[in-house]
Amino acid sequence: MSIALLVMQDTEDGRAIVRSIQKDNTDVKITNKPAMIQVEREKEIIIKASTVAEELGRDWDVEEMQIELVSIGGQIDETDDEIKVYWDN
Amino acid sequence: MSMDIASVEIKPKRQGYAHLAEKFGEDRPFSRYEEAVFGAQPSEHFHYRPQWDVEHEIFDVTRTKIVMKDWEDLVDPRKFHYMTYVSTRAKQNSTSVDNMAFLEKRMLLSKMSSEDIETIKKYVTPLRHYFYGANMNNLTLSAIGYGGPFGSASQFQAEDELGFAQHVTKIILDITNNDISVLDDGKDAWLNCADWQGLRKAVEDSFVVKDYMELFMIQNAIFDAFIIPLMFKSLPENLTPAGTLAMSMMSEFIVTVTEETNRWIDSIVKVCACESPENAALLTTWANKYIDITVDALSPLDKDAVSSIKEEVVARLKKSGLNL
Repeated sequence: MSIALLVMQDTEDGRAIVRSIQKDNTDVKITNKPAMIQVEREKEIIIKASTVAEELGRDWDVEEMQIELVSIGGQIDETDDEIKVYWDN
Repeated sequence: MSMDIASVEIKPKRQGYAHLAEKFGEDRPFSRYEEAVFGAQPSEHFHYRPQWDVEHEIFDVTRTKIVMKDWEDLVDPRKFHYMTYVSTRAKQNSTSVDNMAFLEKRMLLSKMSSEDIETIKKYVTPLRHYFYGANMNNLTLSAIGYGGPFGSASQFQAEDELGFAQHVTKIILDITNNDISVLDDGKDAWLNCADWQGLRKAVEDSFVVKDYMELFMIQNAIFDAFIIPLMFKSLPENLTPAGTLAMSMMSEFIVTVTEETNRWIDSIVKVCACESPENAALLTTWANKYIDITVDALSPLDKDAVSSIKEEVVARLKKSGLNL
């Protein structure tokens, strides 16, 4: 099984995104690296805009992800409501 | 000579503050909001009771009849700490400044009829004094309310109310070519005009309410919930089209900030009501009492609008778990 991967900056907003990933996905592997947070999960990772907004206490646009994004492993499916990083194989 | 540069990863001993790790039972990087509010208020080792209230400690849970197991459950869903609060308001204010500039550039204020201007002067100017009162009430909540999350959010709410008073002043001066005597007329109406005396009495009575959660219900969950929709949503709709446009744009700052703040207010009511049936019953008693007082106080200003706003207020409080 392929591992979907996301690496976020270890910032206030980046940590909120990671917390929302932990809420919306099961069995997520989090590794804290210097100034970065690595998120790994089998097959796919889902980021829901509504959960991130709840974590941050303000509206959150899925495009704001780009600001915190360091690296990504997988295909991306982006709508107004969520981002999916996945391997279709 | 060859040089070998190796990288060494130094693991921090702790991810976050120890008192937060203890509170949440896990060591992780905490958010700025969590760092700002939890454990911020002293809760033990009070040496002397305050001279202004010898019945209580400086911070004392018995200042309200509402009972909570953990007062730090009263968190702010907006997660406001100083930086996020200030930057959010700055952004909203800059939108408001742009709106004002737009109205001026297209000379839309001069298209308002003189009746529109009279209506706004009559109904909106005295609100400066209402908002000053609302500022004072929220400062009281901030001073004696229990727990860091509640205290800090109340302080922000107090600043917002003061900001609303300033915003009202700005609107009035803009539509009257900076005629400051209008502000004096507004104060005179607040003090002497019969239509305003019900609201003035209600506001002045709230200053001496001792139970701070009761004060929170009166000021934030009820007074504001009536007055802001009445004056900044219903009132503009009764003006001429040019007046509706100009007044809606000028007062949009107050409306958006209020919509955002309502999330905090509703969440406080909900958390307290969900804690125990006793809390819910007490909040319901207060809500019933002060909704009636507010409806009576505002009816001389616009009876029909007040009764339709009442339905909205009741629906909101029901959604937060009150049995109205």
